[in-house]
Amino acid sequence: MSEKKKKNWAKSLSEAINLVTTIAAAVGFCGYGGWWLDQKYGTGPKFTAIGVLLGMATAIKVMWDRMNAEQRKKTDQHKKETK
Amino acid sequence: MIFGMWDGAFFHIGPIPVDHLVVTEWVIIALIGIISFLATRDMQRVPRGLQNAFEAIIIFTKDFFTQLMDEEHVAKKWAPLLTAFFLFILISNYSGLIPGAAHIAGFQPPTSNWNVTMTLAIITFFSVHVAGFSEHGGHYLHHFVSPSPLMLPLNLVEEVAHPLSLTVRLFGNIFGEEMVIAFLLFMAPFVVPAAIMGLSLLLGAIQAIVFTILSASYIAAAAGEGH
Repeated sequence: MSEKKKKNWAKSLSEAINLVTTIAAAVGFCGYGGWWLDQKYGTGPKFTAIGVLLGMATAIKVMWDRMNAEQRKKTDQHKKETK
Repeated sequence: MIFGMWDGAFFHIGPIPVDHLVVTEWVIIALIGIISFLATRDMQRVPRGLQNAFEAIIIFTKDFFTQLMDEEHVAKKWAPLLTAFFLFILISNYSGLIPGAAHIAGFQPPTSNWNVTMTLAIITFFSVHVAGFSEHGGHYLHHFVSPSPLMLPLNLVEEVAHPLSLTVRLFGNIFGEEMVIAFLLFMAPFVVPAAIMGLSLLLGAIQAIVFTILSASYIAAAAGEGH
């Protein structure tokens, strides 16, 4: 068990960092993009709001994908153990 | 200097200005190249010295990336690039810790400039898609509209978010750390900066590991069965 844990530390670390930074970058990138468009066209907060919403939607999608992947992994492991 | 951009040219090659950070990068690349050459110039069946150390590193990285990326052939294909990333970033991060480096333009870590970190992230970005196309061919494009074509904008934002997060995290950490060291050197030049410099040894290694691991996981995801 400890050997297995030792082997997977890099994977767990990468998944955790990947999730957090992708969410932050998605919201930041879309929010900044929206703000830049607002500055350029003088459209007030419209594009900023759209950008932040798009970034948040991406963040939710990334979390949803991660959750599904974990669920799949657990189901596969359970199938292997019950065989 | 604006936001991590060095604007002074060290010398010119024709019309192209070459700044201090580029020279530092060349020195780092040459250093890695020379050590690699020395380790492999007279290879023996029973390895000794530098060859032995290099073989240990290569076996370790191959095993490490195989565990991380699940597929052995993918790990074998991409381990050289990822190991090169790790060595380059590690030495770059540590180049700022050479005594007096904060006062010499040429010794600032290249990774404290976002142009360098963005270049590394762009290489990762293209590597991810090359890995995806080489494993899945044209079918790789399907993942952009998966699970539904409505998800295309979100998938595209996610693709852009990956290199952006790699760029900003590495640049932000190293640039911030350099600023703290420079500030401490200015305020209390003796003893006090040693603590943060000791911490920088740890942070430099962590940032190199994180960048490499994330690049490996993006490549593995593109090459994996999920697509």
